[in-house]
Amino acid sequence: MARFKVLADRIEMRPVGDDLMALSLMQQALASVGEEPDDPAVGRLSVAAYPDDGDAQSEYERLMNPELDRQRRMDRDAVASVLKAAESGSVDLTPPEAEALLMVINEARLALGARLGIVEDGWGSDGRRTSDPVALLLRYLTAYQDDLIRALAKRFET
Amino acid sequence: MSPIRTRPPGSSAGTIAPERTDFPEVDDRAGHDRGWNVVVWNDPVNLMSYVVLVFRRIFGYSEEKATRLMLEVHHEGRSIVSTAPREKAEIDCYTLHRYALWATIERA
Repeated sequence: MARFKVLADRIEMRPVGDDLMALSLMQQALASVGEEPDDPAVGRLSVAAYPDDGDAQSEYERLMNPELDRQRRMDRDAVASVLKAAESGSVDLTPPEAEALLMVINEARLALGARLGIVEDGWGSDGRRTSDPVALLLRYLTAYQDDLIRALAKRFET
Repeated sequence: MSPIRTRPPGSSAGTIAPERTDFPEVDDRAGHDRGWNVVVWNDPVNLMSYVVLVFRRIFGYSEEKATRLMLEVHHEGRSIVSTAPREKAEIDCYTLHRYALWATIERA
């Protein structure tokens, strides 16, 4: 069964296999960002707009970071509500909920990738990482996100 | 996406940044400000399909244009995805950051 079914004004999310467990681990991974000193995930989720201009960067952060943090919290809260509802089965995602899920998964994937030290393409076929729980979660979320992107792209075309 | 041709993510303790590229100084005091480029940098974790979807979402680009820009990021390590007055460029950059793409702003 497909994970997502595109409907006229929403996307039906149908949890299969270990989806809910993986998405729960995803939430835990994101909640833990910054808990450990020197967590590389922090840097990956806080990209500088002006890497060569400290003054401009400070001003940009002053203007943008509070809103970015607020939006990300709202996305995570929306995903938490969706996952709670999904414990009982399929859930109809509104477009904003599907978008929030897309972004939260991506944040989590980037955080996991940073923690794994991924800096080059081809990490998906890196056999050395097949037994690492962080790598396994990253692979799972990658496949899950790919399915969601296909559904959203299909909806985009309609 | 392809190997990063920039400094790897997480290589600094705080905010990360692509490796510096030296661009000529532009004197815009005479009113020659040509706007600001929003640049997206390659990242090995982001899916190509995700990047295309985000470009279409944010900028309203056709699938063809979004794919061309994504491939430029993939092959060249970076791509200028929009050029605009500074305020608009910052909004574009913010929106790309919201999608967690690796975006920076530079003088056009």
